[in-house]
Amino acid sequence: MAALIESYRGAICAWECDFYGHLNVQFYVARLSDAASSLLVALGLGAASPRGGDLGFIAVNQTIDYKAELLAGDLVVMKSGVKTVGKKSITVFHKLLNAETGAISMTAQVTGVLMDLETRKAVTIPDEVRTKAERLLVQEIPA
Amino acid sequence: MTGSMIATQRSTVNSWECDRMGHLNVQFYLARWSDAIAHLGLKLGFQPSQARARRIALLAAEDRIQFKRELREGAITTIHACVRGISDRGLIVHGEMREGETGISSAAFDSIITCCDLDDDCEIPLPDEVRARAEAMAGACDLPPPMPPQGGPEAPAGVVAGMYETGRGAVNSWEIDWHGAMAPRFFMARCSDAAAHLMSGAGLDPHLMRDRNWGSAALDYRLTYLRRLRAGDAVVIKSGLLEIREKVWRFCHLMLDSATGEVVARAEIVALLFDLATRKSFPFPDDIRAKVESQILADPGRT
Repeated sequence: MAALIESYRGAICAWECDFYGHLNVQFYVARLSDAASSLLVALGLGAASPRGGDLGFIAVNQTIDYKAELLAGDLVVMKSGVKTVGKKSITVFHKLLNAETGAISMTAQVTGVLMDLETRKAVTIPDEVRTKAERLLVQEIPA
Repeated sequence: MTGSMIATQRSTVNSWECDRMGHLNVQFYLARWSDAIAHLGLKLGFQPSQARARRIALLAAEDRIQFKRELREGAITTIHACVRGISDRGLIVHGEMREGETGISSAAFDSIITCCDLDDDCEIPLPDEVRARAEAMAGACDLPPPMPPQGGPEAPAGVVAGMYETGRGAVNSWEIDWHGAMAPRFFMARCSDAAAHLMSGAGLDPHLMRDRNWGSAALDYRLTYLRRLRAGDAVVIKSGLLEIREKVWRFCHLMLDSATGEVVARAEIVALLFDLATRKSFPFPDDIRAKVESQILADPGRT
């Protein structure tokens, strides 16, 4: 079973914070989207890879737990791994950490379906992608 | 050369960060670098929670960025950074951005970072612990030499004959970061916009650029921040041409406080033209060169 890989590292900007003075939910999701690109690279489907322009995982379900608020100026790191691999779909796990305290700010599970970007239809995950995905499997969702 | 450097940023290039040239716009390199500086600060013990409580911040006084390779939508960006040394003003830091999938170097950064008292709006010495850690890190990093000057004439200290207006506006509240001043990326965004007006004035208007399928790209930015800008500040940008070489030209932007005329930020830029189809640069055509040469500032020297 693999360790989570780093998939995003950045800072919380003041213009991402809302009336409550903390990071608005939409910007957590934006970071999930950014983190997905690093996972795609790990799966051999990055923009520079031969199949990167042909196949892509599209999100069909997201489950997010917000665990601790983030304030403007806070620094964050996202760590990600694979939870399950199906025939055409994959479920990945993300954990957003406050880089200063190590506290978990958010956890998320995202299920993506592999899509042929030409036909816009779901397709079976190729063996080489599946092999890479299985190497990223995390045994259990970290706390 | 990232072996002894610290991982300080990781994200991806989104389509809405790319410009007409089909690549990551310069302002988003700086946005990533600002995040990277904050992560480097944390490694030095400059904690966000403490900074907010003590009303102090690490802010760039000068950013130098060399662009090495364009980044397209979907690319991964990573930045590793390290302290070069310590000066009277604060930290001298270096960073390298790479395309995360291929490892190809995309940009390099050299910056002067100062510690600022946010209430008194002045530079203060680095906290002792931060300074000690920075000194230790500086000795441990294996870095390339500091970037040499761009060469050629520098931007003038104030507006001189031959400069013209390329931007006007106000600082928006959503451009203000946690420390109460405009984030550097928004100055660079204005520089990027101003460049289109400067190019129009030099004969490279958008119609011609589209007709010839030309693009423009920066190779080198030197940004100097002279005063923190607050929401509502009215600003104007005046620009001028510094020199033209075979394939590159240099120009400058001065951002002025509209109310006082004070120069609040300065940019000195090396840029080139390239063919949008082949992605290759080319020498300035004679007709364009003649017009540019006629507009080179006569006495741009800064004292």
